[in-house]
Amino acid sequence: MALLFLDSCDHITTTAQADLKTSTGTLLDAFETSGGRFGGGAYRLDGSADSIIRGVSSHTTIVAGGAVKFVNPMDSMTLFDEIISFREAGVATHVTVGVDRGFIRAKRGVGNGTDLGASATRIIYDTLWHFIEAKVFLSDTVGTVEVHVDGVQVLNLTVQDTINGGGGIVDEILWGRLFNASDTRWDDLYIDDANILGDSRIDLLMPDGDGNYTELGTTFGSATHAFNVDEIGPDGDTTYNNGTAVNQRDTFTMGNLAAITSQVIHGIQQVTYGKHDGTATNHRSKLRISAVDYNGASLALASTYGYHLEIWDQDPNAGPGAWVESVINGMESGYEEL
Amino acid sequence: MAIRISQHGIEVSRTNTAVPIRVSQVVVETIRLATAHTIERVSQITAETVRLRSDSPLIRVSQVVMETIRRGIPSNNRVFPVQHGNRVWYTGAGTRVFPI
Repeated sequence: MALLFLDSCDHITTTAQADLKTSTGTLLDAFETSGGRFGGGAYRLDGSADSIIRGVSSHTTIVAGGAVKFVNPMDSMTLFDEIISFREAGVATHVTVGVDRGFIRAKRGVGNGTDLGASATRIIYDTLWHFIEAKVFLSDTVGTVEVHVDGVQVLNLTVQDTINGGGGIVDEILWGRLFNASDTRWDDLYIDDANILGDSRIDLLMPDGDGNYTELGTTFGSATHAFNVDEIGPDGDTTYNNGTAVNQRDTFTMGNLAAITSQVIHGIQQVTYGKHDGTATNHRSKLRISAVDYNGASLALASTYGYHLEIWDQDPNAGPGAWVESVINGMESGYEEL
Repeated sequence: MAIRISQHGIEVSRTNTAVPIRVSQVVVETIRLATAHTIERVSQITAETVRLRSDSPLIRVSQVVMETIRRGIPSNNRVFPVQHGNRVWYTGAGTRVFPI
């Protein structure tokens, strides 16, 4: 079981940056830098084709979630509208979880697909942030669809046909919008390959100082490495750290998590916004916990800037084991040129 | 002008030194590559060797952040004002009332 994708929506400022992180080559979403679930940014879907699409590896069991707010009144809404869709890219939409006059409803296919079932009561209301999570198991005979809203199970369908042709896998998640409630906001998106995580939040931590390694160049910005990579909304070629040789490393001290009570930390995601400078080059994310380095996978850099994600479901310095807040607050995050 | 002969040869010196000069600007102009190539070493002028690391991998990193997903309060005890015709409100601590 593993997290596949996180998006706090808090470190990007433009639609283009949002599309680099979420979409599979389509520019169908807009982005707001304020009005997020706990402040910060959020996606704004208000055009007829707007959606957020994220590709993942192929799965037959998959979970997708996010915080959604329908900004406009839903009173006139009469149609089933696509909220979270489980898709096989370019082939089929296997299962769609939608909102039907405030009820949660699941269908095989899209809006005109086969009805699988609905929640017993009205769950979704406009102008409020709801945290919606859906878990789907694909099968022609024993498929399942489970939906939680604000941490409470509202739909649990079993023994279903959840495969809508194609190869019977999900490799793409779509977060959609209500057509009648024209302004739909999404924040705190996640994808997991096994577990519904419960009513969760995604918090952003930024660099606040140089850490143990300061080996890349700082020709193009501040002499303090951290100050070249700490912008909300990356500034690209304005300030950056430039690597000139393999195995050069930078690590940074990061800000601290805001205190919350009764917390369960599901995982962290390192995000690096970088590119190579003419010669195809790889890099990897790096954690430094209690003076021990832990390396992520080797990721290729392109000739244009892109986001590179490394997820750590567990603290590698704890066995591995569960994350605790003090470790996250005390560790360094960075990268290494390969 | 005076001429003096010594063991070092003939020395000629001007006695009229009152030739003024004017300096109006001093600048330094440097020619260099516009890209991020790093000058690794400049040897003595006689060798005139400037090696560029143009064959080394070069990367640019413009943003590094970390995102943490976690469950806990306050993510699940929202407090909101009354919404749309008393259809729904939240009273805090996770309690919801739906007087429809």
